Amino acid sequence: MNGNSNRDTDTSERKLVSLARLTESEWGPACATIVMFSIAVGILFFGIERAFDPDRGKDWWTLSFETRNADSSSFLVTNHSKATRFTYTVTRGGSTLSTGDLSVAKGDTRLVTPDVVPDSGRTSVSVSADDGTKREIYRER
Amino acid sequence: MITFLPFLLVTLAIPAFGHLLIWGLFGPSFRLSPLERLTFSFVLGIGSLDFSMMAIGRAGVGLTVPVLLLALTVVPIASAVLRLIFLRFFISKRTPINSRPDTFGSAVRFSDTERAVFLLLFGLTVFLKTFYLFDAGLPTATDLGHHMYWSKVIVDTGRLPDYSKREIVDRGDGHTSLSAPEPISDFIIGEHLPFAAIAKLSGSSFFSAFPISFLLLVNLLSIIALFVLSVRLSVPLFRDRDISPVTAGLAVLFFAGPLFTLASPETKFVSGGVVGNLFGNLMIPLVILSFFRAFTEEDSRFLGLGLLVTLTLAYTHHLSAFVLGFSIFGTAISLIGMSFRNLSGLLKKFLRLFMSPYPALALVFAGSFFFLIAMPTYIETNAVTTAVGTPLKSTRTGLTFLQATQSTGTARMAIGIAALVLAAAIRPLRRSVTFPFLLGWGGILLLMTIRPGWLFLNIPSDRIGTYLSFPMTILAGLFLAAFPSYFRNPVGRISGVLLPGTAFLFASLILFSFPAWDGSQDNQSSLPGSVRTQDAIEVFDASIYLSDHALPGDLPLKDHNYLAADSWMKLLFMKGYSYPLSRGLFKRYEDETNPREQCTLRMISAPNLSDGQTCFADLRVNLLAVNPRYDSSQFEKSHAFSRIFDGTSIQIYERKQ
Repeated sequence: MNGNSNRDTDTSERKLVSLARLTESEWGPACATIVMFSIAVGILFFGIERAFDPDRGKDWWTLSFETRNADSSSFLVTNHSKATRFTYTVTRGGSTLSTGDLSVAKGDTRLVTPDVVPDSGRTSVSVSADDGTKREIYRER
Repeated sequence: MITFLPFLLVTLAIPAFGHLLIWGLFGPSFRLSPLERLTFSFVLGIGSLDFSMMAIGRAGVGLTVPVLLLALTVVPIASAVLRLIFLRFFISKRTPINSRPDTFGSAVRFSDTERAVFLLLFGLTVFLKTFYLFDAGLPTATDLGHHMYWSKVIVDTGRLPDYSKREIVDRGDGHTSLSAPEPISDFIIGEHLPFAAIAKLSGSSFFSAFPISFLLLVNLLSIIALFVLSVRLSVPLFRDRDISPVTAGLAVLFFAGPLFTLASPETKFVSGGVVGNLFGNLMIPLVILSFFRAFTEEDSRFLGLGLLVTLTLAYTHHLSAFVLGFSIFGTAISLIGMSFRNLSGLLKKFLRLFMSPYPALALVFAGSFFFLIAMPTYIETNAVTTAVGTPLKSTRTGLTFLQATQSTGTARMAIGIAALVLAAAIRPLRRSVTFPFLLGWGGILLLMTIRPGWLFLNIPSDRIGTYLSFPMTILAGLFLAAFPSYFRNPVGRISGVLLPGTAFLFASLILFSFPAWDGSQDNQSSLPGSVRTQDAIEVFDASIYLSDHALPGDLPLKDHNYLAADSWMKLLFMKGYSYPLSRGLFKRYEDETNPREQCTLRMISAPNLSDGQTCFADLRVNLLAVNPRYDSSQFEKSHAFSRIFDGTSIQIYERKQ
């Protein structure tokens, strides 16, 4: 009799626990949270990867010396703009030492090595693009 | 496009192993609703990962990919195996799993309507945040750059970082020099370990969406944490009323989710990389939830859980840990005040909770880790003392009430305070166990924000103010949920303030539309301004050029005022936190309460004057990166500088040595 009573108590307690678990089985909102976050991550990665693309939706180009070596006037044109045709001029003290044209496709970098050795004073490299923009670098010796 | 999958896999593994850890530590009968389980699993997963990485790092073992996999998995798996052994050999099959009736289990049961509203509100929240972050473009924020530098140090070296930097110091003879590396107290390792582990395990670049995606998860989980906390708080609060706890939680979600969702401390903190605060805003509500459930359900396992979350927070963010400490203190004072006639009963309850295995084990673990393995850097550098004392600077003497209201959101503040007044005035609410928790948390934060001097706090008041929005959000949401019950339909013997039908309808409309309007205005005013994506890309490109062309012994200086994403430049050098040196915000050079070196200002602003030239000679700075729109002519007219890189947003100059 006593054993039956204990068994009944255990059974009812187990039912209570099962009921509690049943009421807690609200996984829908939790799963939705994970799914929504996953979608947001996909969108953010997609958008930010595009933002990191130097060519997509951007219009810029840079001019730089190829090396830090003061005896070199070689320069790089890195193009991420709509312009493709560029003109360069190397000058020192108002005199033009070298000039030329180059074409650089969007996303490309071109190395130009003018036959000019920087001397005392300021040796400048000016590059103009066919969209009217202009850059200038120079070395002081 | 597919690059996000490894990140997602590793990130979601953190709550998965955290879930296993909770099961292992607290057993199968430990009752958490699924949303609670999700948030606690994430935080415990982070905690387990952090403490494992710290222990492994301190032991001198490199943090390689296999070691990090072990750090992520071994503690949860070991705890689960031990639990299985315990259940198999030490628990009789006839022993009831848990004989205590679950008075709170039904609280988290959603009706179909509530589930739909939850999905709608939360979906709208995720949409708004994602839209904002998508529109904001590249991760370029200063704070995020600083934090990601330290995470990248861990990834690159496989070691725990040595938080130090070289400072420019005045030698006292009119000359300056670079100091030896000195400890920094601003950074705490828990802010960087999860990012490092994810980057290393998933192969994600720091120059990707991964940092802000991870912070977005932290932010979203903090909103879920507020929701589940509100549900639990509303059970005893509305015991005598026909108010569904989930509906009360949804009212809070209304305030915390789609409304006020962009401004600080929400999505702006995500895009801004305010890592520590975001973790704090997740962990503080969870600690309060744990302690509340421990206290109301008299289950010491929740106390143990709360202590573990507190420990994780202590190794993640000093200010949040500080705010949590005060919040607990405020709640304890409120509880004592409310139980004044039965203090011995309250004391016995506390003793029963603390004198049990789970809190004791948590405290032993905390003490052992603290004394034997690693202390938080702010303890080691004694930075806590600088946060305590009479505030002197005007930024630390407290916000005005109006400023606090603007920081928290007018609607949240107004309705939140109305809720506190209402709860204090209505006896059943006042006598509910929820009231001291809300009063203690909200009250102490309000005091810390507007009257820090009363508590001897010497911390920037606007930073404290951002924490006030959370208790005010809960209070405002609970008021919104309770309004119909208290002002329209008195239930049983408890009377409410009956409003005539039209007045009630009018008041309800105002109560709903005021926060909706205020929160939307707040969102609108927080939309990102002009996006500087192209500028940032140019700066990154120039930094790579500089990094490729820098020689041993070179020391660059860049400008923080006008260059986009400049704090990220050091991630492309990885030659120290102070490499390149930086011209800081102009106002910092004029701060009389905190005099600082002037060389970084002079070398860019006035490079041709004698003071600037002395700085160049002393520090041997020879490369300068500036924005040509603001800082070009002073270098152009000098014969001491060559311009070696020219772009729209950045130029690099080399100084003749």
